[in-house]
Amino acid sequence: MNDAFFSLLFSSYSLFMIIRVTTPILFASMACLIAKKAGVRNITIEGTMLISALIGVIVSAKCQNVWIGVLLGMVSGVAIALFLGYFHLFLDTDIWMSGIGINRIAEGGTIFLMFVLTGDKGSTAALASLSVPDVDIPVIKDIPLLGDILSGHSLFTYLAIICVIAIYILLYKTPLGLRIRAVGEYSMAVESVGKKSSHIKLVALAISGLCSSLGGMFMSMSYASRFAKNMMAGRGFIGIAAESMGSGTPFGAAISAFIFGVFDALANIMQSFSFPTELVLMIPYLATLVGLVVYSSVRKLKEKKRIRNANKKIAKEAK
Amino acid sequence: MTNKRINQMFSMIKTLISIVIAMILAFVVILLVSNEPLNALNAFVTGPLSSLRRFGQMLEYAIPVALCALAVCVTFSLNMSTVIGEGCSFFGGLLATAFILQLGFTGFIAKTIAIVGAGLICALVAAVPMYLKLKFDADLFVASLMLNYVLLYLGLYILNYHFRDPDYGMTASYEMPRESMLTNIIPKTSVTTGLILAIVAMVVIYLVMDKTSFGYQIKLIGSNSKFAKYSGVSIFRISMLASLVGGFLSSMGGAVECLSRNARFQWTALPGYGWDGILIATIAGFKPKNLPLAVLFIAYIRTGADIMNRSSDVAAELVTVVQALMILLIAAKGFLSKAQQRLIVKNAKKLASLEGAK
Amino acid sequence: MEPILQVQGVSKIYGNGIVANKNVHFSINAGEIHALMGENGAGKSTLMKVLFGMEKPDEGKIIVEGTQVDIHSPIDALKLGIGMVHQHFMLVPSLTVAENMILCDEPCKGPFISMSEAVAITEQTALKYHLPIDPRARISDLSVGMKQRVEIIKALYRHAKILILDEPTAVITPQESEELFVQLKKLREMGHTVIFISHKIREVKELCDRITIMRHGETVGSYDVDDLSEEDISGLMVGRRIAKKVDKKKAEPGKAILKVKGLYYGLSENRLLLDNVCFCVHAGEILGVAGVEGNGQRELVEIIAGLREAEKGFIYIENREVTGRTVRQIRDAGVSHIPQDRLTYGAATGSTIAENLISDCSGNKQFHNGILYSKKKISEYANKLISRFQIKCDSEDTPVAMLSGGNMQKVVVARELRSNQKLIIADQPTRGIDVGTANLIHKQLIELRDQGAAILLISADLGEVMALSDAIIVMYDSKIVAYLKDVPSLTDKQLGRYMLGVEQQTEEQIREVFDDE
Repeated sequence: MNDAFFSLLFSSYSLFMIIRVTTPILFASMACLIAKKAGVRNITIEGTMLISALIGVIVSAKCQNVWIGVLLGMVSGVAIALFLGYFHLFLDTDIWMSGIGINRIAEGGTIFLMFVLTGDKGSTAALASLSVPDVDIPVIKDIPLLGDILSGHSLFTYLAIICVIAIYILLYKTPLGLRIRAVGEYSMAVESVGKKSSHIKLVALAISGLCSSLGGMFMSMSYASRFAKNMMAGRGFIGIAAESMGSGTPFGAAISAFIFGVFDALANIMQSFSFPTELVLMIPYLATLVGLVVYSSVRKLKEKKRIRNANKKIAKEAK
Repeated sequence: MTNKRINQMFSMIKTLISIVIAMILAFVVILLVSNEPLNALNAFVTGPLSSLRRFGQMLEYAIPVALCALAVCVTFSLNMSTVIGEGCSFFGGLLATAFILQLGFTGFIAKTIAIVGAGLICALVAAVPMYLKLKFDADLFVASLMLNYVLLYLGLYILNYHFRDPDYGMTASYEMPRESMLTNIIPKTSVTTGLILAIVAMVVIYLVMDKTSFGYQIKLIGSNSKFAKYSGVSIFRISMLASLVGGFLSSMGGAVECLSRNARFQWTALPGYGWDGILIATIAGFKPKNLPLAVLFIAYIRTGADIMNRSSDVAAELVTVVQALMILLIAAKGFLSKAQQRLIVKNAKKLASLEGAK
Repeated sequence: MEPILQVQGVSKIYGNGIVANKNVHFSINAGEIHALMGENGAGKSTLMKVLFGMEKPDEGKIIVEGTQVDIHSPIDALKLGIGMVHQHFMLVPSLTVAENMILCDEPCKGPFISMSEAVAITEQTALKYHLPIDPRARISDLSVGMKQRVEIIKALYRHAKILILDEPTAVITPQESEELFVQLKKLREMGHTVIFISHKIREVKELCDRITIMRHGETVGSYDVDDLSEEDISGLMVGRRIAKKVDKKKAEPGKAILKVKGLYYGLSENRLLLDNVCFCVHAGEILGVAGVEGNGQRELVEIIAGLREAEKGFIYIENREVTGRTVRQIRDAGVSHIPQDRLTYGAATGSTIAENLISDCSGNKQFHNGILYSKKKISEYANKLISRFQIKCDSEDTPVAMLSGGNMQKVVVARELRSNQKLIIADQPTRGIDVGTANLIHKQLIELRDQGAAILLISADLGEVMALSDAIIVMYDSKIVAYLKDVPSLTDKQLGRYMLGVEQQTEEQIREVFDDE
C-alpha cells in the first residue's frame, strides 16, 4: 500500500498534476503581486476569479466560441478590478471592506446568475460551455520522462508561466513597471514629479484583474469543464499567501505558489489512498498558515538583528 | 448647527441612502429576472411577517448572526480586520455538539459546559492570528482566513471520525438528547433560549464597549494607536483580550444555533455567519447599541429572500449581493463627502470668525 | 538688475486658524546664495511649500523673472525652474539613483527602459554640476549626505534654476556639510540661485551672500550677510521679547526626581542625536531645555516618556530605574507628558473631549461606579478641566476633531497637567496657543511646581523658557552646551547665542546640572 503511494507520489503523473494545480495559484499570486507593488492590497482575487470563471463559461456557451468567452472573461476581470479601484481610490473606502464586499458580491452573484441562466445553483452543467484546449508541445512531448511532465498542459498553464515572466519584465524593465514600484513604495516621490499616483494604481489593478480572470477561467474552462459554486475554494487567498512569502518578487511568488501546488496535488493523491480526506484537504491551508508564520518570524528576527547591530555600532563609536 | 450634528446627520443619511440604493437595485433585478415579479416581491417584502413560523425563522437566523456581529464590533473597533468569525462559529457549533454527546448527563449544566467549553477553546483559537500579527507582523487577514479553512476541515474530520452517525442518511452527528438542547420559547418555531442569550450578550457587550475601561481602550487603539501607546495602553494585552472575547462570541453563535434547531450537527461547510456578522456590524457602525436594528433588518431581508426563493423563481443569493453592495456604499467615506465637507468648511469659517472677533 | 524671484505680500492661514505667513516680502537676485532664517514656527516651511506649489497662498504675489506666476503644483514650480530639496527626501529607497532620476520621464528603447541611457544621463548631470554619484547605487544603501546629493541632481536635471534647500545640514555629518557648501558655491558660479533655509548662523555666515530673517510668520528684513555679525543675526532672529512677567516665588528645589545619566541615541544614519546627556530635575523646580528644534530634544523627551528606547544610558525616577520601561509603568511612576506633536500623539481626533481627557487613566476607580463607568463622574471630571483651561466647546461630548487647533491643544494640556504628578514633561506646551491660555498654562505649571512637582520644560520659545524656568540647559547638536542657574539675569541675546551654537560653556559648568547622590 505504502509502496504504491510513494511510487505514485514521485511519478511523472504527479509532477504533471502539480504543475496543473499550481496554475490558478500562480495567476492569483501574480495578481496579488502587481497590485501590492503599486501599494494596493487586492483581496478580491478570489471573487474576481469566480466571476470571470462564470462569465467565460456563459459566453463560450452562448456564442459557441471559446475564445470570445475567454476574451469577455478577461474583460470582466479588469472591470471588477477597476470597480475596486473606484471605490478604494476615489470614494476612499477601506481596502479590506471593499475586498470583503466584492468577494461576497461574487459569491452570491455567481450563484444567482447561474440560477437565472440554468435553473441550477450547483453548477453550469446544463450549459454547453467550451473548454480551452490542451497543448502538446511539438518536440518536447516526445522526450521520455520530461515530455509527460511538461507537455500536454492546458493553454492556461503555459500562459501562467509566461505571465510570471511577463510580470517580471513589466515591473523591472518598463517605464510603467518603474512607476508602479515607485508609487507602491513611496507615492510622494511620484507626486513630486507631477504624476498622479491614483492613475498608476488603477493600471496596476487592471493588470491584477486580468491575471485573476485567467486563473479563474482555467478552473472552469480547463481544469473542469463547467462552473460550480464556490469552485475557487480559497485558491485566490492561497495565491495571496504565496505572494506574501515570495519576498516581493515574481519568481519568489511563483516558487511559493509551486510549493502550495505540491500540497494541493498531495491532497489529491492522498485522497485516492485511505488517508482521512478532511485532514488531507486541510494540508494546503495549514501549510499556508505555517509558511506565513515561518516567513514572518524569520523576517522579524532579521529586522531585530539589523537594529541590534546598528545600535552596537553606534554605541561603540560613542565611546 | 454644530459640526458634530452635521457629521451625525450625514452618517445616518449615508447609511439610509446606501440601503435604499441597494434595495432599489434588488427590486429592479427581481423585476427583470422573474416571470412572476409581483409574487416574488411580495414574498420578499412581506414573507417574514406572513406566519409565526416564518417570523420565527427570521429570529432563528438573527441569533447566531447577532453574536458574530457582536464579535466583529469588538475586534473591528481595534481597527484590525480579522475574519476568524467564520471558523469559530463553525468549530464552536461542532465542539458544543461534541461536548453534549460526550457528557454522560443532560440538562442545564450540560448545555452550559457545552457552550462555555466550546467558547473557551475557540477563544484561544481566535487569538492565534492576532498573536501572529502582533509578534511577527504576519498578515492578519490571510492568517485568520487560512485558519478558517483549517478549522473547517479539522471539524469535519472530528465529525466524520468520531461523531458521525453511520445509520443516518446524510453526513451528520449522532442525535443529541432533547434535554441537552436549548429550550424552545416560541412554539411552532425553533427559537430557543438562545434568543435570550443573544440579547443578554448584546447588552453585556454594549456595557463593556461603552462603559468599561476595556472597551474604552479598544476604541482608543482603533482611533489612534500611537495615541493609545502614548497614553500607556498595552496594545498587545488589549488586542489579545479583544480577540479572545471575539472568538468566544462567534463560537457561541455557532453553538447556540447547533443546540437549537437540529438534534444533529449537519454542517458540511462554513455557515456564513462570520461574513454576515461583518456586514451587519458595518451597517451598525460597529456600535453594539445599533446592532438590534441592523440585525433585524438583515435578518428580515435574508428571510424574505429565502421565502422568495422557495415560493417563486428568484434565487436567495440576490440578497447576498445586495448586502455586500450596502457594505461598499456605507464603508465608502467619499460617498457624499463633498456635500459634507462644504457644510463643515462653512461652519468652521463661521467659528473662526467668531473666535477672531473675540 | 531685476531679481529672479520676488515674494510680495504672501499670507497663508491654515484651516485651524494658525497664521503661518503674514504679508511676507522679499526678493532674491539671480546667482546668489540666499539664506532664509528663523526659529521654528517662523513660517519658513510654509513659505517654501507655497513656492513649490504644495500650498496655495491666501494672499500675495509671486514673481519669477519679472512675470507674475501661479504655482499650483510641484510640476508648475519645476516648469518655472524652481526645484526643491526637501528635508524628507522624495526618493524611492529600493530603486537606484538613475531610476529615481528618470522616474516619470524615462528614456526608452522601444517598450523598455533604456537603463544605459538613464545611467548616462545621471553621470552627465552629476559631472556637469560636480556632484559625483554612482548611478547604479541603491538609494537605501546611500548615506544621508549622498541621498541629499541625489535630490539636488534630480532637481537640476529637471532644469531647476532656483534651488531651495530646506535645512540641508540638519541631517548630514559636518564633513558632508563642508562638501555640500563647496558644491553649492560651484552651482552659484554656474549661474544658479540657491535659497538656503537654516537656523545655523555659523553656516549661513560661511556660505551665503544675503539673508532674509523671518519671525512669527512675518519677514523682519533682508540684509547682506557681510553687514551683519553673528550677534546681530541672532538678535534679529530672537527679537525683542515682550518681557514675560510671571509671578512666581523663588523655587525651593527638593530632591532629584528625574535623573538622566549618560544618554545616547542615534539610530538614524551615523548621526548621534543624543550625546552623553546627563542632567537632573528636582522636585519643586522647573528645568527649561532651550534649543532650536532638531538638536535632540524630541528624542530626549520620547525616551524619558517611554516611547523610545535609549541605546545607552540610564533614567531614574525618584532613584528607581525606569530605563526601557513601558509607557504604562512610567506613567504609573507619576510622569505626565505634553507631547510636541499633539495631533498625532496627544489626541484621538475621532473621540470626544471627555474620552481624550481620561485616556491615560481610563481604569481609574474615580471614574467608575463598581465595574462600569459612571458617565456623571467622567463628565464632572471633564467639565472641571474644561472650565479650568477654558476649552471652547459645546460640551464634553464634542468630538475633538470639531475643535479649533488651539482648543485641541488645550485638551492635551488639560489632561497632563494634573496634580500629584511627580514629573511633568512639557514639550512646547504653548505652541499654537493664544496668549491668554498660554498664561493660564504657565500659571498651572508654576502652581504644580509649588506643590512639589518636577517639571521638564522643553521650548523653542525664548520668552517662555526664560520666564518659567528656574534653571536652563541648552541643547545644541545633540549635546548640552550650557547650564544656566541664574535665569533672572540672563539676557535673551545670551541665551540665543547658546541656542544658535555661537557660544558654549565649559564642561565643568555643564556638569553642575547633574548631582549624583
